[in-house]
Amino acid sequence: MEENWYDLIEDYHQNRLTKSLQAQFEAAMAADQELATAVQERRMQWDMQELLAENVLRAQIRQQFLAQPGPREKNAWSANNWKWAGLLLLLLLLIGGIGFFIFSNKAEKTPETPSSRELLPTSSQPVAQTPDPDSTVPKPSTAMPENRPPDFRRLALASYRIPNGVSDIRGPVDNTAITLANQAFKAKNYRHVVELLTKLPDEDVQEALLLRAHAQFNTGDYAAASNDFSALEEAGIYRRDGEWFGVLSRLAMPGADKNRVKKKLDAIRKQASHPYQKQAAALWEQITPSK
Amino acid sequence: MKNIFFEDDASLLTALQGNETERRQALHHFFENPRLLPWVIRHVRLQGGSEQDAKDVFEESFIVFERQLRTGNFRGESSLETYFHGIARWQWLAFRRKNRPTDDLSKAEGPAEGPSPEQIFISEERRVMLQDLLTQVGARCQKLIGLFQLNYSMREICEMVGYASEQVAANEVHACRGKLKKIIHQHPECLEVLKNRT
Repeated sequence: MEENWYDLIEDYHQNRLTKSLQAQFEAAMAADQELATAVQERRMQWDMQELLAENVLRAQIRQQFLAQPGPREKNAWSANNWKWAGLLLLLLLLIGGIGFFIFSNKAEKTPETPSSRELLPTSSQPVAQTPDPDSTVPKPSTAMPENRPPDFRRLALASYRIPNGVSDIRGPVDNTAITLANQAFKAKNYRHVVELLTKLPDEDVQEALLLRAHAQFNTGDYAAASNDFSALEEAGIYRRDGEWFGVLSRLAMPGADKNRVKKKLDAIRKQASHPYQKQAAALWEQITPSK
Repeated sequence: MKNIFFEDDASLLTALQGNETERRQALHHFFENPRLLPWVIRHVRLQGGSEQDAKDVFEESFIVFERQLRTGNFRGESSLETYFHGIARWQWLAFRRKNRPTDDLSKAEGPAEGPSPEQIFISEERRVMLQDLLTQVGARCQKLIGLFQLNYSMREICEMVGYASEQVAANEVHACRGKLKKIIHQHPECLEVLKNRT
């Protein structure tokens, strides 16, 4: 009979038992310490899983915020302040009207001066040679530098965010290189991370590679970061991370083939299921000059 | 992303509990619907908060809202929008209690509808302790378990993470959940501390 209670742990936890069965279950828990512990462990596991689900959801929500900051802020502003904006416009119009009225009155009262036509020299009169300010001072060009290439490095750095959990690879329970590197990463001591992981450990190679790649990016060694992200791209859980951050590294890296990088970025932004699709699409907009 | 119009609550509810594309569309709807995010921004601003405060409140509200739907705790006694507004009002109160302890909240009341954050949120103390344990699971398992908990199918997990097959994804998720259980089992002292706390 006791085994039956263990089978019902999940139903009890999810509030799926009838009131009478729930009462019996709780009585059984009071009598059986192991059952009570098993229920506590199940609850703890559920809460931990919920915290991890939260992380996924938060990342998705922030992607949405990142993808649409402009229009929403603008809409919120206009929704809240349109009355004030209207009032300001009315006030400006009023001031402009008063100003026009005063100046036009003054102009009527000033003594008559020869009209501009009278001041113009006739074709027989010599024209005094005064320097034409427009001919000596070059006009500032209003044309935008349309052909200037985008600042790839600046854009790559602006798009870079350390992903959640990258420095939570292992708990602080041992003194292995990866644990120490993890602690150094959290302390933003990126150079130390690179030193600690110069030789990758035998275990958790992918995690160590990811940590080292991000550390290298943060020290400004984009070429080394690019190599590590390329290695991650080849296989494994961080393949997508490797693709996206590899693109950023190569954009920031002087001398990299930017057309090739753009092709890769284009491929990422076209994959709806890619976890960095939105960021890639936003970056694509910035580096592709609009016609 | 194209904004999908959800005709009624039932279709939105289905999308929120559907596949990854449908969930993304539903989430997108939440950002585009003028009665949700802009409503939260207006509500928070009217009570002295900033736009960033409003975004934080929106994020917390959405997490609670999603969990309530996923676990079947939304009983359909109000519309989804009203339910979300209720959660957001509670979240704003909780935000002020936490971040602005000097605010006078004696006259502030929680809304009639919607569960209070205390009823549904994992407490801060419990959260800190659990987060600490979670670091031992590793980044890869954290991601996999998070997706699994949100009811992502093995096919979706396989695509998102880049595994060779659904079977590989299923094996990995199973192994990660096993690892999590083992960690819990190895820390009876945490279980003891958390036993009588929400």
